[in-house]
Amino acid sequence: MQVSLFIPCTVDGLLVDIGKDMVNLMAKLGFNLNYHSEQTCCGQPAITAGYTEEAKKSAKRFIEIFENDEYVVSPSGSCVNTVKYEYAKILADEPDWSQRADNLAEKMFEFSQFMVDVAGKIDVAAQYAGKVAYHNSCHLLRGLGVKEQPIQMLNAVKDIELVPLDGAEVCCGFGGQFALKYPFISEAIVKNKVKKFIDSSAEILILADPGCLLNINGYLHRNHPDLKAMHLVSFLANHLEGGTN
Amino acid sequence: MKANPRMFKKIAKEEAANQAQIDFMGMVSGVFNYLCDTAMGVYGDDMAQEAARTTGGQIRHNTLSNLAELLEKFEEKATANGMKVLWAKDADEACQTVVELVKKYDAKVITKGKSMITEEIDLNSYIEEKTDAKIYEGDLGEFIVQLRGTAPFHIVGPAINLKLNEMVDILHDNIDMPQTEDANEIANYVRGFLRTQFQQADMGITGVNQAIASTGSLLLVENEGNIRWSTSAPKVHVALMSIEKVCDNLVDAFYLAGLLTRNCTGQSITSYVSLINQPRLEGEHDGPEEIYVIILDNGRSKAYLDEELRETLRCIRCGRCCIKCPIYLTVGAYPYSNSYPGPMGVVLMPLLIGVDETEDLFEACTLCGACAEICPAQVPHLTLYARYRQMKAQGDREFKATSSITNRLLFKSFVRGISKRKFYERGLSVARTFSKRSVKDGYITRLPGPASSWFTCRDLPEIPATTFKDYWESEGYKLAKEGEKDE
Amino acid sequence: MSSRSLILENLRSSAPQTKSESIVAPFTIGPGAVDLFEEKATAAGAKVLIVDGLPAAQDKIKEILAEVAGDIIYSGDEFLKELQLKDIIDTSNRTASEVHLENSADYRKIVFAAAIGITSCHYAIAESGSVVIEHQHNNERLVSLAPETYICILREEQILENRYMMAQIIEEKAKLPSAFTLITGVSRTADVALQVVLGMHGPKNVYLIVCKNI
Repeated sequence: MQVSLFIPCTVDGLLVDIGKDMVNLMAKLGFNLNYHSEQTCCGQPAITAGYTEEAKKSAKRFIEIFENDEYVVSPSGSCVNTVKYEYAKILADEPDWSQRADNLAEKMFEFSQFMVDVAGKIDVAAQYAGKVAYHNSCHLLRGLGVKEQPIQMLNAVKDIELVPLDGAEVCCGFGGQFALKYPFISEAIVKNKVKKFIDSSAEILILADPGCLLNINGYLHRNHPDLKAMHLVSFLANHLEGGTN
Repeated sequence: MKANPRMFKKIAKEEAANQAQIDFMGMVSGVFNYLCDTAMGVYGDDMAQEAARTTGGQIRHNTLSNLAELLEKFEEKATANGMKVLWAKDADEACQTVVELVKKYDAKVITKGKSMITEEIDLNSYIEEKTDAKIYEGDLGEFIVQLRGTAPFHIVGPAINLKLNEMVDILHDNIDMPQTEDANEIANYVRGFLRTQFQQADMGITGVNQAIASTGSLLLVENEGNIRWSTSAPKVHVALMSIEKVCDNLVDAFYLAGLLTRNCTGQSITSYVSLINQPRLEGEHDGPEEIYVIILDNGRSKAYLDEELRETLRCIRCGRCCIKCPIYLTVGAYPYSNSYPGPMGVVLMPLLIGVDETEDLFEACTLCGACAEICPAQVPHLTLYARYRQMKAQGDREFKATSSITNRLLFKSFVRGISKRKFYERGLSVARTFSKRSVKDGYITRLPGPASSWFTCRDLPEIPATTFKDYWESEGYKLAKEGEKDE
Repeated sequence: MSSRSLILENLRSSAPQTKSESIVAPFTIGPGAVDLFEEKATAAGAKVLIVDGLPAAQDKIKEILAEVAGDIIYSGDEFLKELQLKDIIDTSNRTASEVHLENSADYRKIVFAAAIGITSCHYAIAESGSVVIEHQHNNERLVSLAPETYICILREEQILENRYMMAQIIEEKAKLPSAFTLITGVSRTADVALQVVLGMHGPKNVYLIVCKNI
């Protein structure tokens, strides 16, 4: 299968390892990967801030880059949600472009969504003897409707114990610019999320969105340096049976 | 209450620091969400419950598709039943109309059924200012909050945040309740106090849950009995409703009422449901001799003109969104500073008092979508939040949105910055250099400037020297080719 | 321009959308409406007593009256007449005064002083455990609200499966009564520190006597 990687700016510029892990994992599983090196950011910050007129330009550029691919897969539920559903909305008054946005939307998938729903690769042959919990990121869960796919992939990991996380479906308090504008609210929310993680007795909190990861891991690093959250892709890639390389 | 959401940030900051309150709200919302989920179970599994919400949404859609027609039909029927229907374009006119009625009937004592619309127009203050009438909130929580002089904390539990001893002190100081911490004794004492007021009231004022066009009736739900008293004992009943609180027929009304109570208190039905058709008839001993229905616009018909904004009016005020909202559950009702706390007010208030005034309401939102997911009237919250943010960004005269030139320039340059890989990398490189001095063990721990607030409680990984693109071009592409070979 | 025309004009100036038919699928519940009614009403705080035949109903009323002291007010309902409620009260060995509505010029004073209110109802709803009273002459509103104890006597056949059936029946009525009240259990509040207190402004004790075979 020909898969084009959409590596969001948070991964390209900050969490590079998630991108590397995705390449490692998917290559190992036999996917034919491709990466358009002119890609940048999907423009989500401008769209959510209401600068939709301005963001049209970014959306069109994005569509032009990816529209000829067979599948586009990304390790960010939030960015996929933007491309899949927001582009057509902000381009609604330009029928040609909204049609092109819709075409792209059909080929665009979040990592676990693609693996389970499209490729049917639930079991990636990973092994981990320990407890993990899964946090449902909002845009995966309520935006893309991705709920069971990451759970299925985790359950397929040999020896793993997936423990319940109280309030797993509650927002982590990131919200992009929200975290900067209302840091005191964001802090209270992420603090609560981390408390639930600690209460779950899981060793690792797994999630599938770089935004939530920056927030939760940033909070953990400052306040509970012994704990960590991991992206699903990284978790799987780093626990493949027979080592990562 | 007079809405003042400009205070949001200041109050929210204080509330967000109150961990005991946050824990309490977490506990309470857990209980209520459980009760509501259980009550929704009557419709069946998750899919059936979604279907029930769709039906609710459809009923509201029907209302909003034919609002003028339904209101006129309701007016015609209600008038034929003997009610008097009055219209008010804004809060002032509604308050003035009520005051004229208070004067006309020389009402000295007024009891109220719990109602949000009278909070919206700040009716109590208006009546107290213009007349000598004494007003008593009939709902226990609302009554305590009235004595305390603060805003309701939650639409169902207006005083839910008060500690028992605070409540006891308020009742002791204001109505001489003997000191007790027994909930039954407290309720019983207030029952006795308000009973006297209900019995001597000259006028009862209530809201309306649904006005039914086909029969000209008013449907009201409650658990305590304050609405029944206010609509049974006094000679005059004044009911206030906003323009969207109408539906086509009784089956629709009962369907919505079922969704309302199941998502509000988790009850299949409230203790009392009153369906009021007309004033008392010849030979009847109780019930009001006159019923006035005041239909209030207060900015809604202007929103109605816009098909997207119109959807705000779907709301049936169950408040379920509040107990799903991570922001509300962190800061409580006070920061919202209006009668509709949480997502209910976030979708409504920008239309009533303008976008500039309410900026913090729709900005203080992570767009998590928990509100929209649970809404039994299918209010499209996320679409509305996006719309308000667009209005604010682009400017909108009709709904008083002034765009900020600074922000506009910022986002223009952001969009330019991501329009070419070259610009994007230049930006990244500036950020890398800028943050370098603050890196400790691989993490940035603080930064000056607009991003400084990130670091009040968290760190950020340092910006690596090379990007994913660099990795791809040096190594990644080789692996990808291997993948191809394996296949 | 009046506010009325102003508002309606605004609402009319946008093109009406097509109305989709609202379809409320009624709940369907199996047989056993009485059992469901009993379960739901009991859960809402009412005491449900199911009796078979007229004498049993009369005995049950006597039993309750023997336990609760104070004045009685009851509505001038045909079914209560059929039950010979007046005779039951007269013959019951109690010193309390009885009042009923037909001879009542001083209604408010009486209803506010009464300790027990007795009515029949017009429908009951199994799915929610509610009784429904049509308020009209001789079926006053406060009788089921003001007294501390409320007794509602109904016939099994009055129990409808769900609220939508009732709504449809009401909708089709040529003439509506002044008001309907749906009573489901006991009035309640959780406003004091989230503790549920039963009997806030309404009766604290609610008895629902369901009569079979009358």
